[in-house]
Amino acid sequence: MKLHQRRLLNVSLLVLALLVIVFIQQLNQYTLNNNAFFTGWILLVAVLVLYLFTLRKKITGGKLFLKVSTWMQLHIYVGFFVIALFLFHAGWQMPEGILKQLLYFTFVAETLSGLFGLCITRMLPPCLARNGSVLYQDIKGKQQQIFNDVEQLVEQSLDIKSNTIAAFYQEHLLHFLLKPRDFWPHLFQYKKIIYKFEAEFINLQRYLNEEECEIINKIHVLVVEKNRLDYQYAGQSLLKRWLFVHIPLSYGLLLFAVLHLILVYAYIGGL
Amino acid sequence: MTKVRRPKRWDKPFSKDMSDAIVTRVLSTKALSHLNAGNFSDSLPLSGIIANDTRIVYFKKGEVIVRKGEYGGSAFLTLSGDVAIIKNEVGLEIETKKPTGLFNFFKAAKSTRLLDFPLFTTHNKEEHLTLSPQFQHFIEQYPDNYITLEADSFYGEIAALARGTRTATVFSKTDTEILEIGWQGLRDLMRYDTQIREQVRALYKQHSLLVQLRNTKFLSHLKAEQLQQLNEQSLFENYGKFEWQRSFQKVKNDEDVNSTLKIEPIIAQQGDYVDGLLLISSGFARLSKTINHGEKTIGYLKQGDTFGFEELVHNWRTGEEIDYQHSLRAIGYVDIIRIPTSSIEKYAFAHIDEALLPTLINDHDNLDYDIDTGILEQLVEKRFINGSSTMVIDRHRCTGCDDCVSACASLHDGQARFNRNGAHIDKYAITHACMHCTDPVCLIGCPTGAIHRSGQLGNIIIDDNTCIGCSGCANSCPYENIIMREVFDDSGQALLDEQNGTPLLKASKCDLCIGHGSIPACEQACPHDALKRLDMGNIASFADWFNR
Repeated sequence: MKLHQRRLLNVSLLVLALLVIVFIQQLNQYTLNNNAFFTGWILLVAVLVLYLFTLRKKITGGKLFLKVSTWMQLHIYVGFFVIALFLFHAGWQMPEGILKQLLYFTFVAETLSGLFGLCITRMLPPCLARNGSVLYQDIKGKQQQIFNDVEQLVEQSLDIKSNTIAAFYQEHLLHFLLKPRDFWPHLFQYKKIIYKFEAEFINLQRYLNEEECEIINKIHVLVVEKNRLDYQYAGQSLLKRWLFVHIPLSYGLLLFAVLHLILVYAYIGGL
Repeated sequence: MTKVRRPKRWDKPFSKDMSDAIVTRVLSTKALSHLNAGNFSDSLPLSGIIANDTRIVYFKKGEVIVRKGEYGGSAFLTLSGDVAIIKNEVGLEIETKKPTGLFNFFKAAKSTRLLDFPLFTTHNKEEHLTLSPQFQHFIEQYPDNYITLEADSFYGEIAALARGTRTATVFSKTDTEILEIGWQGLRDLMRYDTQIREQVRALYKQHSLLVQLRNTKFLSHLKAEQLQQLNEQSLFENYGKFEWQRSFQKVKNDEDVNSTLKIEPIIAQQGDYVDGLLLISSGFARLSKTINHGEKTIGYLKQGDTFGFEELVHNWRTGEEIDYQHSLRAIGYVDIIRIPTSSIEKYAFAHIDEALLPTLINDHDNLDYDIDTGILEQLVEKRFINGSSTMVIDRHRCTGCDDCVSACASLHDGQARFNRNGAHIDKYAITHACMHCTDPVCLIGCPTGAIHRSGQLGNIIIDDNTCIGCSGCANSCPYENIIMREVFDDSGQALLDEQNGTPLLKASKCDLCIGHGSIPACEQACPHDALKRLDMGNIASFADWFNR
C-alpha cells in the first residue's frame, strides 16, 4: 500500500469512528443516558491504547506482534481520536475544580507536545538529509576534529610570522568552535550567523598575503562544516528531546485521569 | 585478560570420522587416485584436505542428496551405489487413461495431469529428505525424468562454484556411499590439481548449460533431443573475475564516475551484429545505452534473464537486420550461455506460441520499472544490486531515533550487528549492514567455512565456533559490512593469543535475526517506516518501495 493510500484509509477510519461516537451520543441523549460516562470510559480505553505503543517498542524480535511502524500509525490516529473525544467529554469548555483543571492542562500539554513531535518528525528529517546526514553520536567527535584542525592551521599561520589569523581566531572563531552553538537559530533556519562569518572572512582577506589566504580559506571551509554540524546537532537533538516532554507528561496524564475516575465514582456513590 | 591458543583451520574438521584408513581408501578411488600429494603445499597437505574438508555420507535408496532450490557450498563424489538427477521436478505430468462413461465418449483416449501427490516426505534434522513412495513409483515408471550419474563423477559443483542454489534435485537410486567435499576442500583441490580443476570446470559448464536451457521459459516446449541439440550448439562463456571484489575495491572510491564501468568487461556492445541470444547463467550484467560520450544505465540482468531476445524476434519477424540496441557488461563475475541465432530460429521461434514473443522494437528505453536513472546508476555502479536483503533507510523519514540499532543490539548480546552510516544515494542511505549477497564473495576465502549460506533461507551466517578470526571475509566484503570484534570469555575478560598477546577476533555481521521471526528486528522496530530490507535483485519490488 502506498503511503498516501494508507493515510487516506487511516483518516477514513478516524472519521468513521468519530461519526459512530457522535451517533451514540445522540442516541444517549434520546435515551437519557449520561454521555459523560460513555465518552469518559472510551477516552480512558483509548488513552490506554496509546500507552501500548510504548510497551510494543520495548519488545524486540516478537513473532506475533505487528511492526512498530503499524503501532505508530495506530498511536497517531488514536491520538487524533482522543483529542476529539476529549473535547466531547469536556464539553468544549474549561472545567471547574483544581484536579479537573490539572487534568485538562496536562492533556492539552500532552496533545501539543504530541502534535509538535509529529510535525518535527515529518518536517525535520528531509531538511537534515538535504544538509548531508551525519550520525548524532558522531557530531561532537567531528566538531572536535574540526577544532583541532583549525588550531593546527592557526599554529601554521604563526609559523609564517603573522598573528593576524591568530587574532581573528581568538576574537571570532574560538568561542564558535568550542562546542555546538546557535541551537535555536538553526532550528528556525536563521542563517545570519554563517552570513556574518562569511563577511568577516571576506574582510579579513584584504589584509592577508597569498600564503595566509590559503590558510584562511582552509579555515573557512572548516567553519562552514562546523556550522553544518551545528545545524545537524540542533535538529537531531530536538528530534530526540521532545520525547522528554511528551513521555513524562503522559504518566502525569494517566495519574490525573485515574484520580478523576476515582473521584467521579466516589461522588456519585459508585464506590 | 585470558591467554588462549589462537584457533586454526581444521581445529573443527568437517567430520571426526575421517580416519587415516578412510582417507587412504578415498584417495584410492578412481576419481582421486591420480592426485599427487607432492603437488600440494606443506601447510595444506592432500591428506589433510581429505581428512578435514570432506566427509563420508551414507544414503539409503530414495533419499535425497541435494534438493533443488536449497543453498549449498559443497560438491559430491559417489564412492559406491547409483545416484540420479531429477530433470525437472516442476510440471511433471502423469498419463491418465480415458475415463469411462457415456459423457466421456469424446474425450481423448489418453491425457495428462500434473502430479498431485507430494514429491518428498518431510524430514527431521537427523534424517535425510526422502522421495515419497508415490514419487518413487513414478520415477521408476518414467525413467525419462531422471539421469543416472556415473560412479566417480562430481556433482553439486554449480552451487559450490556459483555460490548459489542447487539447480536440481539429486537422489540415491540405491544405497550409496558419498564423499561430500566442503567448498574449502574443493577450492584447494582445484588450486593444486589441474586435472580436478579442468574436470570440475567442464562439469560446471556442461551442467549449467543443461540447467539454464531447461529452465528458460521460451524453450520449455522443446523435446529432450531438441534441447540436447541446442545444448551442443550453444557456447558457455564467462566474463569478469571469480574474485571480482579485488578490482572493485580498488576503484569504488574513485571520483571518476566511470571508474567502475571501465573494469566491467563488455559482453555485447550496442551496434554489434546480433549473433545470438545471451542467457545469464549466473551473476549480474549491466544493461546500458550510449548517450553522447557516456553510458546510461537502464537496468541490469540477473540469472535467468536474456539479452538480445527482442532484437532476434524483431529480425525474425520483419526480415530486417537491426543490431544490439544496448550494451551488456559483466558486473563482477558472469556466466553467459550464447545460443546462435540460427539455432534459436530453428528450435525456439519456429514452434513457439506467438503470445510469448515480445512486440517489435520501437522504444528501447521504455522499461517496465519506474526508478530514477540517477538512483539506478549508483546502485549498479556501487554494486548494491548484489544484495538480497540490503538495508535501505529513507533519510526523509528517518528521525535518527536509533530504535533499529537498539533492537539489533538487544537480540545480539548488546552489540548491534550493523552501522547506520553508509552510502547516500538520493534520499536513501545504504547502510553498512550485511546485504546477504546473491554473489557472496566473502565466502570465497574463508579457510574453515565458518561464513556460509544457511541451507534453506540462503542467509549468509557466521558460525562463531569455527571462525578463526583471520579477517578474510571482512577484507573481501566489498561493502565493508563485516567487522572484526574482540572475543571475551564468560567473565567478560578479553581473550588474547598466548603466543603474542594480541586480542583474538571473530567476524561479526548481520544475520537477519535468524530464528527471531520473518522480519529482521531493525525493520520491525522502525517506527517511521524509514527502514526496509530490500532484495535489490528484484528491481520491480524495490522500485515499488522507492516510489511509495
